[in-house]
Amino acid sequence: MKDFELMIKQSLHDATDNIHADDSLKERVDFMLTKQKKTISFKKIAVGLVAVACIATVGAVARGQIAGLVSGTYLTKQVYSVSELNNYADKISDKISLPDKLNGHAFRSGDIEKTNKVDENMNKIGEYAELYANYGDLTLTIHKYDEEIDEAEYPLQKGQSKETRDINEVSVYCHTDKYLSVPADYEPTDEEKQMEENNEIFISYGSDSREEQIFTSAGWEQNGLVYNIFTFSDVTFETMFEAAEQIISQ
Amino acid sequence: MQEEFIVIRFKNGDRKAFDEIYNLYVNEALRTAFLITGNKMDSEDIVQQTFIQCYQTIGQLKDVTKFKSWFFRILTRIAWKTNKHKLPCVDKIFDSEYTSSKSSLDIVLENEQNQMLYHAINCLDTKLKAVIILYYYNELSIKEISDVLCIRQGTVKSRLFSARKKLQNHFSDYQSEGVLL
Repeated sequence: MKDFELMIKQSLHDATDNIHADDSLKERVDFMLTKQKKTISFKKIAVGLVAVACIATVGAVARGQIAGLVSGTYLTKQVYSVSELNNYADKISDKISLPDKLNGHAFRSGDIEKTNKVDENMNKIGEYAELYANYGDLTLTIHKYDEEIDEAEYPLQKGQSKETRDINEVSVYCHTDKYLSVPADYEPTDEEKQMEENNEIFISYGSDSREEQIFTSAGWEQNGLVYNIFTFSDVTFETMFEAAEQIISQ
Repeated sequence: MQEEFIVIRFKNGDRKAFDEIYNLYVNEALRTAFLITGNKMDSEDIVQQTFIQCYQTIGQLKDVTKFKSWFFRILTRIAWKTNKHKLPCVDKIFDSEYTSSKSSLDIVLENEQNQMLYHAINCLDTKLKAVIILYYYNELSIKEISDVLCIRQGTVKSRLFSARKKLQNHFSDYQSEGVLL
């Protein structure tokens, strides 16, 4: 390589030799890959409004109507302190105040993301901003009340538990869903497809291996905001109601 | 060859293989993103998005020997999209956070030349800058660069020639006038 070309090479290396990825970058990648498992479709929304009716009519969605929700892009960077996330929370509402701990679990990270509303052909027909706050096993999400998604009917899974409780005059709805998390290119068996059709299981694509999990969620509406706490860990409804109470009482 | 085996395992869903790929590529990815954007925070976001997209779409990679080109194609596109309306902040590249601790006069002069050259590289348009970074920093071959940028090899050579000529002109002006252009 000629002298001048060596200088170009040296210049580029000198500009970057001191740049190294720190551990937090890997944590961010791992966190986002874990969260990909939780990309859920409209028919499977874990929103816990008490006013939800029973079984939605499968296949009766007209073109252009919302049929799914898909994680979009990040509206903020991933942050690792509650104070930073509270500052960003203004993008959703100035009424949000996040705690340092949720039911004993310390805050780990969070961000604000855009979620796309899609029709049955996966065409984007709208969007909304949602705050994600990770507290170890528990994840808290908050978005502004949206009639299109929060007034919707959604199918209740057969055989799964549910309970409603009033906390400080706010109705909190807890329920469980059975999930089958599978890799992106997984082809469900006929039995699994039938279970999905029967609303006995939800299939979520994007994990690194096939895994059956119970998804537990507590949701409520308060001051024009929709809150949801969810987990794939083995927890009781009591734990979820305690976490909800902590947020409601703030 | 060892990397190819890791990529094969990765394609087969081995999460540890993904972690190994991450460790192999993260610093080069971060530095490449930084060279394109000139901004460390943007670079980290670009690298994060690149690895996530890589993880989600590894099934689309048919030839495991072309993993590097495929990876940097993803990164370059994300970086260009991020950088679309931004200008690189050249001065910060050589500020106290990133410069070495060399101190002799020759090294100071060398540092000034590097700074000038890097400034000139950043003044290149996006297409020329990309081939310079991929060729001289990532040390990709002409064929690999053509795969990354989805352009013909002849176009890669042409852009490299144009870029080198512009940089040479900058350098010659600098040497004759002694100023940072």
